[in-house]
Amino acid sequence: MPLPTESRIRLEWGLRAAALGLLGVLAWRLDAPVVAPVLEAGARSLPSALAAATRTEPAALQLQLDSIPDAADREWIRALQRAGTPVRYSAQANGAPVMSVEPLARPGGEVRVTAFAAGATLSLSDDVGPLDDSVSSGGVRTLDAALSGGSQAATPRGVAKVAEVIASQQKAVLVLGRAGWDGKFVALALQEAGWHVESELRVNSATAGTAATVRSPGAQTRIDTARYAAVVLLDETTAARAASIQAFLAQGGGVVIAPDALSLASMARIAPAAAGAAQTGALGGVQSSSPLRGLDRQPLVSLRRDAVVLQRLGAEVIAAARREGVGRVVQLGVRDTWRWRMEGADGALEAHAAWWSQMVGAAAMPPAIGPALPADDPAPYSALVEAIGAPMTSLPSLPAAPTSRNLILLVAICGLLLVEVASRRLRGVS
Amino acid sequence: MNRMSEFVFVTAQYESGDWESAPLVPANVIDSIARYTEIPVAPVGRVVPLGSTELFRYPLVFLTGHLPVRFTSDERQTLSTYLARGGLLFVDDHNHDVDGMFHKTAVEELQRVAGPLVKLPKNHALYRSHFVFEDGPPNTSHELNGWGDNLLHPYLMGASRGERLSVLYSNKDYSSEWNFHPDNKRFYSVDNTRFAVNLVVYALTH
Repeated sequence: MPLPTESRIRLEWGLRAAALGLLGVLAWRLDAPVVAPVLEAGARSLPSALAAATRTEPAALQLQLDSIPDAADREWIRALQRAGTPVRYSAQANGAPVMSVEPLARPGGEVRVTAFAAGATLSLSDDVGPLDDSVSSGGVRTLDAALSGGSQAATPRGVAKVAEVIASQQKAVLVLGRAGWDGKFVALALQEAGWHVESELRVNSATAGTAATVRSPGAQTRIDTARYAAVVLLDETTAARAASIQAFLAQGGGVVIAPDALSLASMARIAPAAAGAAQTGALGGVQSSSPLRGLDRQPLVSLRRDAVVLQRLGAEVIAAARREGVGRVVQLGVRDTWRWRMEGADGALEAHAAWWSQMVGAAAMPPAIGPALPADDPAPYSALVEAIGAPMTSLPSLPAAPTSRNLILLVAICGLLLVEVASRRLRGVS
Repeated sequence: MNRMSEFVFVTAQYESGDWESAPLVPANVIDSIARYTEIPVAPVGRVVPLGSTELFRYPLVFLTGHLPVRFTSDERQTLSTYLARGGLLFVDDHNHDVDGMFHKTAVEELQRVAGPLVKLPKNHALYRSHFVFEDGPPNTSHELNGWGDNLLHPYLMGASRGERLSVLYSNKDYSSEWNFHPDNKRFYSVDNTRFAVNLVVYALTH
C-alpha cells in the first residue's frame, strides 16, 4: 500500500536534509588540509619512489627492501626522514655484504681483503676486475692481494665498497748480530723477498783503525718505528741494544728472536716460549721435502698463554708469536737457516726467502693507512641502520586512501537526491 | 756457538791446473781472522772439489793457480748454482801476469759462468769492510819488486749479482803474498794479510 502523501513529503524532506548534511561533511573534508597517501616501494622502484616522495611529501614512506640501497639512496632516505616524512622499512641483514681492507706488513703493498655475507654467494673484485675466479657461499672470505684502486664485495643483497687503501711505504727491517753466514743470508733473503733491509753485523770489539761493526748504507744506530718495522736479533751480541729494542716494541715495532739471541735475559722475558733441548738436523734433511728437518733446532717449549704458534715441525713448535704491549715478538727455533738456501734442493732459495719474509711479516708493524676516500661503503647494512634506524620485521597494512571515502560520500549524496526527486515525480509534483 | 756458525776457509780443488799452489794461505788467513776479529773461525781450512755439492756448505771459496784453467761441465754447473745462491768465489792469479795463461783462461771460464768481470772502484765496500784501504787493493811485494808482468795492478775485478759480489778476481798475486807461516807476521811492520780479513768480513756481511 502506497505511503500517504504526508508521509512521503516528510520522507523527501528527510532525504534532502540527509543529502545536505552529507554535502556539509564533504565540504568540510574537502576544506581540510590535503595529506598525500603513504608511499610504498620495493628496492627496484626505490629511486622513483624517493623522487615522488620528495615531490609529494607523503604521510609516510614505507619500503620493502630485498637489497641494501647504496650510499646515495641511503642519504636520500635519511634526508626525507629528517625533513619530517616518517620512514618504515623492512630488510634482511642476511646476505648483506661487509668488507674490510687493511695493509699487510709485507713488501709490495699487499693488502688483506676480508669480506662476509651470511648465506649469500660473495664475489670480490677491484677496479680492474675480479680478484678471484672462485666465489664463496657464505662465511668469511679472506684474500691477500695487491689491489688496483678500490675493491668491492658483491652479493644479490648488496654491494660493499672500499676505496683505494693508501698506506705509507713499508718500513725497513734491521738485522742485528755477529758477522756470519746467517746474518748475511737472512738480510739477503729478506731483500730478495722485497723488504728494504739494513744490517748491523758485529766483527769485533772496537779496535783502532777497524770497523767494529759492518753497517749497511743508511743503517741507523737509533732503533725506532719511524724507520724500522721490525728488528731481527740473531745472537747475544745484540745485548747492548736491549733497552732500545724494548722501547721499539713499546712504540709498536716487531722483534724476531733467533735461538742464539734467547740467551739474553731481556729477550727471554718477552719471548713467547722457552727454548727446548738443542737437536741436530737430520743428515741430508736440507735436501728433503721438509728442509727445516735438516737444520739444527731448539724447539719452543712452555709456551706462554698468549703465544700463538706460527709453525710446527711434527710435534715440535719452531715458530711462535705474541704481543708485547703494542708490539709483536716472534721467536724462532731453527738456526743456521742459510744452509737451507745454499744446500737445499731446487727452489730452496725462493723458499728460504719466503719463510723469512713470513716470519718477519708476522712481527713487523704494518704500514699506516691514509684517510679513506669518500667512495668508501664497507658495511652498507650497518650504514642503513645507522642512517634511518632499525628495520621492522613486518610492515603494517596501509589504511584506505582518503580520496575513496570522499567518493563514497559523493555517491551517497547523489543517491539520496535521486530518491527524493523520484519520490516527488511519482507523486506528480515537479 | 755451534759448529755450523764457524767460518771455514776453503780452497777450491779443480780438475785442471795447480789448485794447491799456495798451501800456507789458509793458515795465514785463519790466523788473521782470529787475531783481528771476534768471528768464530775453524782452526784449519778445508779443500773442496769445485764440482762437488760439498761446496754449498762454504759460501766463500778461494781459488788460485799458475796453469791454464779449464772447468769441467760439473764444475761449471756447480759453480753457477753456488754463485746464484749467494756464494762468493775469490780467484787470485798466482802468476801476477795479465798475459799469463792462468789469467786468460780463468777470466774466460769465470765470464762463462758468472758474466762479465768489471773493475771494482776504490770506494767499494770491500776496501772498508774492516780495515780501511783508501787506495783500493793493497799492493803486493811481488808487484813492487817488478816480478810477473812488471806492472802494478791498481784494481780488482768482480762479477756481481744485483749489488752482491759473486766473483772477485785478483791479478795481484795475494797467493804469493800471503803464502808464509803465520808466525812470521812478527817480522812485518804492517801485516800484509789485513786485506784477507776485509775479504772474509765482506763475504760474511754482504
